[in-house]
Amino acid sequence: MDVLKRNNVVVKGKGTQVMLFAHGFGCDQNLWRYVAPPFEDNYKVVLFDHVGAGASDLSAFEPHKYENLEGYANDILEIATALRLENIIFIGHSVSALMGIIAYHKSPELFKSLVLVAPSPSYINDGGYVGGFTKAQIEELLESLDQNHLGWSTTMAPVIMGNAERPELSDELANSFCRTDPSIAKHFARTTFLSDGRNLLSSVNIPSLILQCADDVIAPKEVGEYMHGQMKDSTLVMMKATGHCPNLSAPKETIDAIKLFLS
Amino acid sequence: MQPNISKESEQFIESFEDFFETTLCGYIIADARGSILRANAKIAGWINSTPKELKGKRISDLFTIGGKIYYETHLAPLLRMQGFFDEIVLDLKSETGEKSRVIVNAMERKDKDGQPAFIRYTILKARDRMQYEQNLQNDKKIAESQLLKEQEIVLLREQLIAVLGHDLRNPLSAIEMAVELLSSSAGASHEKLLGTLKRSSARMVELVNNIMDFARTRMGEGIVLLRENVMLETVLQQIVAEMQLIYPAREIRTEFHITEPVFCDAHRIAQLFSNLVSNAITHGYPESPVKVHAFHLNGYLELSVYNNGIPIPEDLREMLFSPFTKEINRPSQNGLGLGLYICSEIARAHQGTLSFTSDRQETCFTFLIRPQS
Repeated sequence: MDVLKRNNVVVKGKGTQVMLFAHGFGCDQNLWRYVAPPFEDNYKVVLFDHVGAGASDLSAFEPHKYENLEGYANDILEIATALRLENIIFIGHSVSALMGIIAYHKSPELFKSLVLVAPSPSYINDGGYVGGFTKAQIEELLESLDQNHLGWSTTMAPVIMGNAERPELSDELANSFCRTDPSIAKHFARTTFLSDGRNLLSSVNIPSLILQCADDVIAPKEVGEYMHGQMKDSTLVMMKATGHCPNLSAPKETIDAIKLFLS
Repeated sequence: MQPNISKESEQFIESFEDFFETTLCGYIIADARGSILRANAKIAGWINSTPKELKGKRISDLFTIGGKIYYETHLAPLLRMQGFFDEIVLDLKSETGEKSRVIVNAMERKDKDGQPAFIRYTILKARDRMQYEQNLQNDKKIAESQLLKEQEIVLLREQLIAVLGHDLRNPLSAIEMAVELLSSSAGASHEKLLGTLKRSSARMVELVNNIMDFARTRMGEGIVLLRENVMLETVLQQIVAEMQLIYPAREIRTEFHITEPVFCDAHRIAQLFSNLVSNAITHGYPESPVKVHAFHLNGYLELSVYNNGIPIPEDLREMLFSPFTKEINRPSQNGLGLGLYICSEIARAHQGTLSFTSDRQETCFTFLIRPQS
């Protein structure tokens, strides 16, 4: 298995210090298109697509392996091994932040620091913990996935099915960014929104940066505050950016915060 | 022609306010971050809200939880990178929890520096369309399961035919043997009855063979040939002799020009020939002879069987070689209507053709094999 092909790994940049960017649920490495380039002058920038997203090898998808985030974390470690990466600055968006934390626990020697963009260790409210969603809401989400209710499949399918013989055409198709295989996206949603990595936070012993957006329905500010409270050597930055994807909606603010953390 | 618009109406045509509010679809304008600046009364009405209440909400707050997550994780990035998205199906959620399905289009309006200024959304009701799609899906599922059931039934029927045909063979050959024994020992007084027995059992053997061949072709096996070089004239003479034995009152005239061995399945050619001669005897006038011609030259093999009789009815001609084709007014003489179908399959297996001509003078069936190039 060619790991680099499987995850559509792209290596850029003139530096030697590694920055490994992991995209979150619902998109692909395009998500970093405004954030990663400014680091290319001084860093070795590594980008990839999770299996099922973007230009990854869809045939490599195994439902059982990716039933929990450890499957995805193993892929991250395999990429690091394949490229002989060390001393990694890991930048994970959304659910990939937790994947990075899992990967760190499996091979702590590989990581230098963690940059967590709109992260969440668990999405469901639990006693005093505010995850952002009630159990009933997540159940509604999973049910709607099962019933194929949402656009998950109807809207994504035509994109995926773009003209394979003439790829240049599918680029002109509507909605052609952030391609996701619909059935894998459903599976990924289940894995993501049922994940719980809260018990992993307190044992993170490297510096970490938590970028918390304003008005993020996926990861509300209580989540960022909780993570900051649990992770010893963490820095919490409350961003002006709204929504769940500051890497797209506020790239400059995101870049500046990362640069400040790294300096 | 002058446009027919009253002075009073004219003011609305170019009015943004009228365009935005008095329309069939929902319009929303949001800032670049997806916070609603203005929504029209249409979309507000669909979710039991008012434009005033919607102002300041995030666009994703209008949707069900799944849609909200889908919007924030997929659609918002898509919109930012691509500048638009088209025909996204989402469920609106009203203040009271009711869902209604809509199609959403969005575009990002950029300022002069190419930075996102605001977002325009057009929202169309999709309930009927989605219902229609759902119905299509359901119909497709039903049709598929029905087809599967039918196919199973057809397979069972064909298996039944094959088994039945096979099981009929044994008692039939017992009858034939008994007739054979009786004709060598019995007195002349039974000759007529024995002749009837012979004809009937020969006819039954033919029908059973046809049924089994039919079942084989339908079950995908097709007619399998065992080809070798045979002196075909001997085979044909044998068939004529048998027919003559069964129908001693009928005259069969033969004209054979086959000097070299023919590469074919002798058993199958005999079956084809016997079917054609038997048909000619059945359908020909009893007083006129059946003529049989066979020629073999330079790779051509032509086998023709002629009879005088009533021409083949027009309505039968087109489907004469299809299974179960028979004359409705004379069913008893036609058996199952499989004979010619089997013959044409045998011809096809030999890369040959079976054709016919039929008029008041004569009906002629011709089996032709051309030299292989």
